[in-house]
Amino acid sequence: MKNKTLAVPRPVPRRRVPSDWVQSTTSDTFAKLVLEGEGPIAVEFMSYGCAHCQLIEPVLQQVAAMVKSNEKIFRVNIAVEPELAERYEIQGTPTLIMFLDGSEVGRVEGPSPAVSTLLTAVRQPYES
Amino acid sequence: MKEANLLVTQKQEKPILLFDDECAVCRHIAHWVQKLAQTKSGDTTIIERPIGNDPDLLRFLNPDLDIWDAYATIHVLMPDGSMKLGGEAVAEVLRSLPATKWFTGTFAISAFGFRPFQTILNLAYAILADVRPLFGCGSCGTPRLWVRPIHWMIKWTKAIFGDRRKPSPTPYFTVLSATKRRLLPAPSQGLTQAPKLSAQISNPELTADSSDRHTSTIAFTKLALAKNDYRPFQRPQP
Repeated sequence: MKNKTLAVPRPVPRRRVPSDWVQSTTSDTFAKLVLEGEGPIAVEFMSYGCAHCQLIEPVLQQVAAMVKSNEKIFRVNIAVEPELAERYEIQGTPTLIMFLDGSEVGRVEGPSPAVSTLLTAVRQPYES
Repeated sequence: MKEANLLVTQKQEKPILLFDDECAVCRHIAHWVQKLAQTKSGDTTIIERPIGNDPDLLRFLNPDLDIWDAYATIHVLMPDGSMKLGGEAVAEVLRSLPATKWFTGTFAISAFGFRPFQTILNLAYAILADVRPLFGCGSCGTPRLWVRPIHWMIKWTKAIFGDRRKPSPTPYFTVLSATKRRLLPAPSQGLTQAPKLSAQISNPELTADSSDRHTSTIAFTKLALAKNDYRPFQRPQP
Protein backbone atom coordinates (compact mmCIF):
# COMPACT_ATOMS: atom_id res chain seq x y z
CA MET A 1 0.00 0.00 0.00
CA LYS A 2 1.34 3.35 -1.01
CA ASN A 3 1.92 5.98 1.58
CA LYS A 4 -0.28 8.93 0.93
CA THR A 5 0.79 12.36 2.04
CA LEU A 6 -2.10 13.88 3.85
CA ALA A 7 -2.78 17.46 2.93
CA VAL A 8 -2.84 19.33 6.20
CA PRO A 9 -4.70 22.60 5.89
CA ARG A 10 -2.42 25.51 6.73
CA PRO A 11 -3.56 27.45 9.75
CA VAL A 12 -5.31 30.66 8.92
CA PRO A 13 -4.73 33.56 11.30
CA ARG A 14 -8.06 33.98 13.03
CA ARG A 15 -9.18 37.39 14.02
CA ARG A 16 -11.58 37.92 16.82
CA VAL A 17 -14.51 40.06 15.88
CA PRO A 18 -14.19 43.12 18.13
CA SER A 19 -17.03 44.35 20.30
CA ASP A 20 -19.18 46.52 18.14
CA TRP A 21 -19.59 49.79 20.01
CA VAL A 22 -20.82 51.42 16.83
CA GLN A 23 -24.30 50.20 15.99
CA SER A 24 -25.53 50.07 12.42
CA THR A 25 -28.67 51.93 11.55
CA THR A 26 -30.82 51.94 8.44
CA SER A 27 -33.40 54.29 7.00
CA ASP A 28 -36.07 52.29 8.85
CA THR A 29 -34.49 52.87 12.25
CA PHE A 30 -32.71 56.18 11.61
CA ALA A 31 -35.59 58.39 12.73
CA LYS A 32 -36.17 56.44 15.94
CA LEU A 33 -32.54 55.95 16.91
CA VAL A 34 -30.99 59.19 15.73
CA LEU A 35 -33.55 61.93 15.14
CA GLU A 36 -35.72 60.98 18.12
CA GLY A 37 -32.84 59.72 20.22
CA GLU A 38 -31.92 61.39 23.47
CA GLY A 39 -28.64 63.15 24.03
CA PRO A 40 -25.68 63.56 21.74
CA ILE A 41 -25.58 61.15 18.82
CA ALA A 42 -22.87 60.87 16.21
CA VAL A 43 -23.48 59.09 12.92
CA GLU A 44 -20.74 57.81 10.68
CA PHE A 45 -21.72 57.63 7.02
CA MET A 46 -19.45 54.97 5.60
CA SER A 47 -19.05 52.18 3.14
CA TYR A 48 -17.35 48.85 3.72
CA GLY A 49 -15.50 49.13 0.44
CA CYS A 50 -13.86 52.42 1.45
CA ALA A 51 -10.25 52.06 2.52
CA HIS A 52 -10.30 55.19 4.67
CA CYS A 53 -13.40 53.93 6.49
CA GLN A 54 -11.42 50.80 7.24
CA LEU A 55 -8.63 52.88 8.77
CA ILE A 56 -11.15 54.82 10.83
CA GLU A 57 -13.09 51.78 12.07
CA PRO A 58 -10.86 50.51 14.92
CA VAL A 59 -10.25 54.07 16.09
CA LEU A 60 -13.95 54.86 16.04
CA GLN A 61 -14.65 51.70 18.03
CA GLN A 62 -12.16 52.91 20.65
CA VAL A 63 -13.72 56.35 20.73
CA ALA A 64 -17.23 54.89 20.92
CA ALA A 65 -16.15 52.81 23.91
CA MET A 66 -14.68 55.91 25.55
CA VAL A 67 -17.77 58.07 25.14
CA LYS A 68 -20.40 55.36 25.53
CA SER A 69 -21.66 56.68 28.84
CA ASN A 70 -22.91 59.96 27.43
CA GLU A 71 -22.91 59.65 23.68
CA LYS A 72 -24.03 57.11 21.10
CA ILE A 73 -22.33 56.48 17.80
CA PHE A 74 -24.16 54.93 14.87
CA ARG A 75 -23.07 53.83 11.45
CA VAL A 76 -24.94 54.25 8.16
CA ASN A 77 -23.75 52.27 5.19
CA ILE A 78 -24.37 54.60 2.26
CA ALA A 79 -24.11 51.74 -0.24
CA VAL A 80 -27.26 50.31 1.33
CA GLU A 81 -28.87 53.62 2.32
CA PRO A 82 -28.31 56.00 -0.60
CA GLU A 83 -31.39 58.04 0.30
CA LEU A 84 -29.96 58.89 3.72
CA ALA A 85 -26.70 59.90 2.06
CA GLU A 86 -28.68 62.06 -0.33
CA ARG A 87 -30.73 63.63 2.46
CA TYR A 88 -27.62 64.61 4.41
CA GLU A 89 -25.67 65.58 1.29
CA ILE A 90 -22.82 63.19 1.92
CA GLN A 91 -19.99 64.14 -0.41
CA GLY A 92 -17.73 61.24 0.48
CA THR A 93 -17.01 58.61 3.06
CA PRO A 94 -16.32 58.57 5.92
CA THR A 95 -18.38 61.53 7.09
CA LEU A 96 -19.30 62.01 10.73
CA ILE A 97 -22.41 64.00 11.52
CA MET A 98 -23.18 65.01 15.08
CA PHE A 99 -26.85 65.27 16.07
CA LEU A 100 -28.48 66.77 19.10
CA ASP A 101 -32.25 66.48 19.52
CA GLY A 102 -32.59 65.52 15.90
CA SER A 103 -30.65 68.48 14.58
CA GLU A 104 -27.25 68.42 12.98
CA VAL A 105 -24.78 70.38 15.07
CA GLY A 106 -21.56 69.58 13.26
CA ARG A 107 -19.90 67.39 10.72
CA VAL A 108 -16.43 66.20 9.87
CA GLU A 109 -15.57 64.80 6.49
CA GLY A 110 -12.69 62.38 6.07
CA PRO A 111 -11.24 62.74 9.57
CA SER A 112 -7.74 61.57 10.34
CA PRO A 113 -7.71 58.07 11.86
CA ALA A 114 -6.44 59.21 15.25
CA VAL A 115 -8.19 58.84 18.59
CA SER A 116 -7.65 62.50 19.52
CA THR A 117 -9.12 63.73 16.24
CA LEU A 118 -12.20 61.56 16.41
CA LEU A 119 -12.70 62.22 20.09
CA THR A 120 -12.59 65.95 19.42
CA ALA A 121 -14.92 65.54 16.47
CA VAL A 122 -17.61 63.67 18.38
CA ARG A 123 -17.35 65.63 21.63
CA GLN A 124 -16.75 69.27 20.85
CA PRO A 125 -20.00 70.09 19.07
CA TYR A 126 -21.78 69.36 22.36
CA GLU A 127 -19.44 71.23 24.65
CA SER A 128 -20.50 74.77 23.82
CA MET B 1 -31.59 34.50 4.84
CA LYS B 2 -32.50 32.77 1.60
CA GLU B 3 -29.31 34.05 0.03
CA ALA B 4 -27.33 32.97 3.06
CA ASN B 5 -28.72 29.45 2.82
CA LEU B 6 -27.88 29.35 -0.85
CA LEU B 7 -24.32 30.45 -0.12
CA VAL B 8 -23.90 27.86 2.60
CA THR B 9 -25.10 25.10 0.29
CA GLN B 10 -22.62 26.28 -2.30
CA LYS B 11 -19.85 26.63 0.26
CA GLN B 12 -20.04 22.96 1.11
CA GLU B 13 -19.37 21.93 -2.45
CA LYS B 14 -16.97 24.40 -4.00
CA PRO B 15 -14.55 27.11 -2.96
CA ILE B 16 -16.02 30.61 -2.86
CA LEU B 17 -13.96 33.52 -4.14
CA LEU B 18 -14.97 36.78 -2.49
CA PHE B 19 -14.12 39.87 -4.50
CA ASP B 20 -14.47 43.61 -4.10
CA ASP B 21 -17.25 44.61 -6.47
CA GLU B 22 -16.33 48.29 -6.15
CA CYS B 23 -12.82 47.73 -7.50
CA ALA B 24 -12.61 47.60 -11.29
CA VAL B 25 -9.46 45.43 -11.29
CA CYS B 26 -11.02 42.91 -8.90
CA ARG B 27 -14.20 42.83 -10.98
CA HIS B 28 -12.24 42.12 -14.16
CA ILE B 29 -10.24 39.36 -12.48
CA ALA B 30 -13.41 37.80 -11.05
CA HIS B 31 -14.98 37.93 -14.50
CA TRP B 32 -11.87 36.25 -15.96
CA VAL B 33 -12.01 33.56 -13.26
CA GLN B 34 -15.69 33.03 -13.93
CA LYS B 35 -15.00 32.43 -17.61
CA LEU B 36 -12.13 30.04 -16.96
CA ALA B 37 -14.05 28.16 -14.28
CA GLN B 38 -16.67 26.98 -16.75
CA THR B 39 -16.38 23.30 -17.48
CA LYS B 40 -17.56 21.59 -20.66
CA SER B 41 -20.69 20.40 -18.87
CA GLY B 42 -21.57 24.01 -18.06
CA ASP B 43 -20.73 23.66 -14.40
CA THR B 44 -18.26 25.90 -12.57
CA THR B 45 -15.35 24.82 -10.42
CA ILE B 46 -15.33 27.90 -8.21
CA ILE B 47 -18.00 30.34 -7.13
CA GLU B 48 -17.41 34.09 -7.29
CA ARG B 49 -19.28 36.33 -4.90
CA PRO B 50 -19.08 40.07 -4.40
CA ILE B 51 -18.31 40.83 -0.76
CA GLY B 52 -21.37 43.03 -0.53
CA ASN B 53 -22.46 45.10 2.42
CA ASP B 54 -23.79 42.67 4.94
CA PRO B 55 -21.30 41.74 7.68
CA ASP B 56 -23.77 39.25 9.18
CA LEU B 57 -24.12 37.37 5.92
CA LEU B 58 -20.34 36.99 5.73
CA ARG B 59 -20.17 35.77 9.33
CA PHE B 60 -22.89 33.31 8.42
CA LEU B 61 -20.55 31.93 5.77
CA ASN B 62 -17.65 31.74 8.17
CA PRO B 63 -17.82 33.03 11.76
CA ASP B 64 -14.23 34.28 11.52
CA LEU B 65 -14.83 36.24 8.35
CA ASP B 66 -14.82 39.97 8.99
CA ILE B 67 -16.15 42.23 6.25
CA TRP B 68 -13.31 44.74 6.70
CA ASP B 69 -10.75 41.94 6.25
CA ALA B 70 -12.64 40.69 3.23
CA TYR B 71 -12.29 44.08 1.56
CA ALA B 72 -8.64 44.41 2.58
CA THR B 73 -7.40 41.25 0.88
CA ILE B 74 -8.61 38.44 -1.36
CA HIS B 75 -10.39 35.62 0.49
CA VAL B 76 -11.26 32.15 -0.69
CA LEU B 77 -13.60 30.13 1.52
CA MET B 78 -12.74 26.46 1.25
CA PRO B 79 -15.31 23.67 1.41
CA ASP B 80 -13.62 22.33 4.56
CA GLY B 81 -14.45 25.57 6.38
CA SER B 82 -10.97 27.08 6.22
CA MET B 83 -10.11 30.41 4.62
CA LYS B 84 -7.23 31.24 2.30
CA LEU B 85 -5.97 34.77 2.07
CA GLY B 86 -3.72 36.75 -0.28
CA GLY B 87 -1.30 34.71 -2.36
CA GLU B 88 -2.56 31.46 -0.85
CA ALA B 89 -6.06 32.36 -2.03
CA VAL B 90 -4.76 33.10 -5.53
CA ALA B 91 -3.07 29.69 -5.53
CA GLU B 92 -6.37 28.07 -4.57
CA VAL B 93 -8.18 29.89 -7.37
CA LEU B 94 -5.57 28.75 -9.90
CA ARG B 95 -5.85 25.19 -8.54
CA SER B 96 -9.57 25.18 -9.12
CA LEU B 97 -9.39 26.41 -12.72
CA PRO B 98 -9.12 23.66 -15.35
CA ALA B 99 -6.84 25.80 -17.53
CA THR B 100 -4.31 26.62 -14.81
CA LYS B 101 -4.51 23.56 -12.62
CA TRP B 102 -1.54 21.87 -14.36
CA PHE B 103 1.16 24.17 -12.99
CA THR B 104 -0.22 24.75 -9.50
CA GLY B 105 1.73 21.81 -8.12
CA THR B 106 4.75 24.10 -8.18
CA PHE B 107 3.25 26.19 -5.37
CA ALA B 108 3.59 23.24 -3.02
CA ILE B 109 7.29 22.67 -3.81
CA SER B 110 9.19 23.31 -0.65
CA ALA B 111 12.88 23.43 0.12
CA PHE B 112 13.88 23.70 3.77
CA GLY B 113 10.42 24.99 4.61
CA PHE B 114 10.63 27.69 1.94
CA ARG B 115 8.18 27.57 -0.95
CA PRO B 116 9.78 29.65 -3.72
CA PHE B 117 6.91 29.61 -6.21
CA GLN B 118 4.32 30.37 -3.56
CA THR B 119 6.51 33.24 -2.35
CA ILE B 120 6.68 34.64 -5.88
CA LEU B 121 2.90 34.38 -6.10
CA ASN B 122 2.50 36.13 -2.74
CA LEU B 123 4.77 38.91 -3.95
CA ALA B 124 2.89 39.20 -7.25
CA TYR B 125 -0.40 39.48 -5.37
CA ALA B 126 1.03 42.13 -3.02
CA ILE B 127 2.22 44.18 -6.01
CA LEU B 128 -1.13 43.83 -7.77
CA ALA B 129 -2.95 44.88 -4.61
CA ASP B 130 -0.72 47.95 -4.33
CA VAL B 131 -1.14 49.09 -7.93
CA ARG B 132 -4.93 48.72 -8.00
CA PRO B 133 -5.45 52.47 -7.45
CA LEU B 134 -3.60 53.10 -10.72
CA PHE B 135 -6.32 51.23 -12.57
CA GLY B 136 -9.15 53.30 -11.18
CA CYS B 137 -9.95 51.48 -7.97
CA GLY B 138 -11.84 54.16 -6.06
CA SER B 139 -12.24 51.99 -3.00
CA CYS B 140 -8.57 51.11 -2.58
CA GLY B 141 -7.65 54.24 -0.69
CA THR B 142 -4.40 56.17 -0.79
CA PRO B 143 -1.80 54.51 -3.01
CA ARG B 144 1.26 53.11 -1.28
CA LEU B 145 4.35 55.28 -1.13
CA TRP B 146 6.14 53.52 -3.97
CA VAL B 147 3.09 53.77 -6.23
CA ARG B 148 2.45 57.47 -5.60
CA PRO B 149 4.92 58.88 -8.21
CA ILE B 150 3.29 56.72 -10.90
CA HIS B 151 -0.15 57.74 -9.58
CA TRP B 152 0.79 61.43 -9.82
CA MET B 153 2.20 60.98 -13.32
CA ILE B 154 -1.07 59.40 -14.45
CA LYS B 155 -3.02 62.22 -12.81
CA TRP B 156 -0.91 64.88 -14.55
CA THR B 157 -1.22 63.09 -17.86
CA LYS B 158 -4.98 62.99 -17.45
CA ALA B 159 -5.00 66.65 -16.46
CA ILE B 160 -3.11 67.54 -19.64
CA PHE B 161 -4.88 65.23 -22.08
CA GLY B 162 -8.24 65.01 -20.36
CA ASP B 163 -9.95 62.26 -18.40
CA ARG B 164 -13.11 60.92 -19.95
CA ARG B 165 -13.92 58.56 -17.14
CA LYS B 166 -17.14 59.22 -15.29
CA PRO B 167 -16.40 60.27 -11.72
CA SER B 168 -17.71 58.14 -8.87
CA PRO B 169 -20.99 59.55 -7.46
CA THR B 170 -19.69 59.36 -3.89
CA PRO B 171 -15.94 59.65 -3.65
CA TYR B 172 -13.99 58.14 -0.82
CA PHE B 173 -11.92 60.45 1.30
CA THR B 174 -8.32 59.53 1.84
CA VAL B 175 -5.87 60.62 4.49
CA LEU B 176 -4.29 62.96 1.96
CA SER B 177 -7.53 64.63 0.97
CA ALA B 178 -9.06 64.81 4.42
CA THR B 179 -9.32 68.56 4.78
CA LYS B 180 -12.94 69.52 4.34
CA ARG B 181 -15.17 70.49 7.20
CA ARG B 182 -18.63 71.94 7.12
CA LEU B 183 -20.25 73.09 10.28
CA LEU B 184 -23.45 74.54 11.47
CA PRO B 185 -24.24 76.88 14.29
CA ALA B 186 -24.96 75.36 17.68
CA PRO B 187 -28.54 74.18 18.29
CA SER B 188 -29.14 77.04 20.67
CA GLN B 189 -29.24 79.32 17.65
CA GLY B 190 -32.59 78.00 16.57
CA LEU B 191 -32.16 74.91 14.43
CA THR B 192 -35.10 72.64 14.99
CA GLN B 193 -34.74 69.98 12.33
CA ALA B 194 -32.11 68.42 10.14
CA PRO B 195 -31.30 71.33 7.85
CA LYS B 196 -30.09 71.52 4.30
CA LEU B 197 -26.38 72.12 4.42
CA SER B 198 -25.29 74.93 2.23
CA ALA B 199 -22.20 76.33 3.82
CA GLN B 200 -18.58 75.41 3.75
CA ILE B 201 -15.67 77.01 5.48
CA SER B 202 -13.60 78.48 2.73
CA ASN B 203 -11.14 80.65 4.58
CA PRO B 204 -7.64 79.57 3.58
CA GLU B 205 -6.43 80.41 7.09
CA LEU B 206 -8.74 77.73 8.40
CA THR B 207 -8.04 74.95 5.96
CA ALA B 208 -4.72 75.46 4.23
CA ASP B 209 -2.38 74.80 7.12
CA SER B 210 -1.92 71.05 7.21
CA SER B 211 -0.71 71.13 10.80
CA ASP B 212 -4.03 72.68 11.76
CA ARG B 213 -6.14 70.32 9.69
CA HIS B 214 -7.58 68.42 12.58
CA THR B 215 -8.30 71.13 15.07
CA SER B 216 -11.66 71.05 16.70
CA THR B 217 -14.83 71.47 14.75
CA ILE B 218 -16.18 74.01 17.20
CA ALA B 219 -13.07 76.11 16.87
CA PHE B 220 -13.65 76.16 13.14
CA THR B 221 -17.27 77.11 13.57
CA LYS B 222 -16.63 79.90 16.02
CA LEU B 223 -13.80 81.35 13.99
CA ALA B 224 -15.74 81.17 10.76
CA LEU B 225 -18.83 82.69 12.33
CA ALA B 226 -16.79 85.44 13.96
CA LYS B 227 -15.25 86.30 10.62
CA ASN B 228 -18.61 85.93 8.90
CA ASP B 229 -16.87 83.80 6.37
CA TYR B 230 -19.38 81.21 5.28
CA ARG B 231 -20.11 81.12 1.61
CA PRO B 232 -22.45 78.87 -0.32
CA PHE B 233 -21.00 75.49 -0.96
CA GLN B 234 -20.73 74.52 -4.61
CA ARG B 235 -20.43 70.94 -5.63
CA PRO B 236 -17.13 70.51 -7.48
CA GLN B 237 -17.52 70.07 -11.22
CA PRO B 238 -16.38 66.68 -12.51
